[in-house]
Amino acid sequence: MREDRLRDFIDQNRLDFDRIESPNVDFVWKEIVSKTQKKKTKPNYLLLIIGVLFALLAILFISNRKTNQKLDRLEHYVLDSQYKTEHEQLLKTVTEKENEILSQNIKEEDYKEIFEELDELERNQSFIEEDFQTYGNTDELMRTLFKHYERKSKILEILLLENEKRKYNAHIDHREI
Amino acid sequence: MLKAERKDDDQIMIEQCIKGNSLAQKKLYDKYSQAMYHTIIRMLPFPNEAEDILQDTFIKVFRKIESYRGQATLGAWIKKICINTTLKYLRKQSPIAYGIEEENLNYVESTKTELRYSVNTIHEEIKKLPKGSRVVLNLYLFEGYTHKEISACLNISESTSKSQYQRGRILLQNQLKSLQHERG
Repeated sequence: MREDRLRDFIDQNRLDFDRIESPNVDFVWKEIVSKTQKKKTKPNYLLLIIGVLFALLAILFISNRKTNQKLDRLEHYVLDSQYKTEHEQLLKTVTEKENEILSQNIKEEDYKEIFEELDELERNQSFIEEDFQTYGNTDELMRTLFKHYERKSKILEILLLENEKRKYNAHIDHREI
Repeated sequence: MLKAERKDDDQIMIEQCIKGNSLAQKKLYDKYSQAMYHTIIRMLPFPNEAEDILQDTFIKVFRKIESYRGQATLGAWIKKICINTTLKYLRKQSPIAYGIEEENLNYVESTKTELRYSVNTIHEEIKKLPKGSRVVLNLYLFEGYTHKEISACLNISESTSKSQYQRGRILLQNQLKSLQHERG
């Protein structure tokens, strides 16, 4: 069997075979450093960018949702021109009466039943608004809303009349005394 | 005692590399880059490309060092990454032809004469071998792979590996002979 002298030679001089050439190790090292650092920082930048994007999207989503909700409510009340005038008129009447009651310093405990009725109407109004968001401003809902305003307007009217009556009676009592 | 010290030294270096200590990384690179470069350049005899592979090898080493479990020596572990990176590059570059061409390969090695060539000359002549036999010859002679391991590594049969090795040796011997003739 022939001796593999090439192999023997390589084995004997193995270390010398790894010392022949002079690669540009410093240049390669700089490249390694720049690439490993890039790899280290890239994900951080990526995470930062993703985080900021998520935050922006969340803000946009929330603000858009709130705006849409407000718009929805407004739109439900004013969109249909056929109801617009009637709606504005009723709302104006209710608002005027509410302002009048506020200006008269009416005490809630003096008209407990009426205020309970008004609270009930407030709850009803919130249900109607929910229905508007669910079904849109259908004719049926618009009529319900108008009825609600009319009813509220009547109750506020009763409250004002009752208060007038109370004031009148107090005046008479005062004169008789 | 010296071995133990070396082991401790490597262990500390590895732990620091895992922590991303750049000084430890540089120390590891300084220790092994020269040998790894020669492993690469013998299989891929183009300095710029060999440096690129060296760079890729150490980037992989630093990324994977956490997975080093000490089954082999650190040098052997890095060498494996180095060889795999080189072979992957060679495969991408162009398919390595391992089929034996019918050449007039006359083996002229004498059993009595000593090898009269320098390490440098043999190194340079190995680099001139065709890609297929150059890779097999390097893996077998320099990296200590068996033909079975080479066949698995290069996805060739064991007999092809043996043939390529023989072919590489004959070509190398012929190259050395003609070099000798040129020099008179």
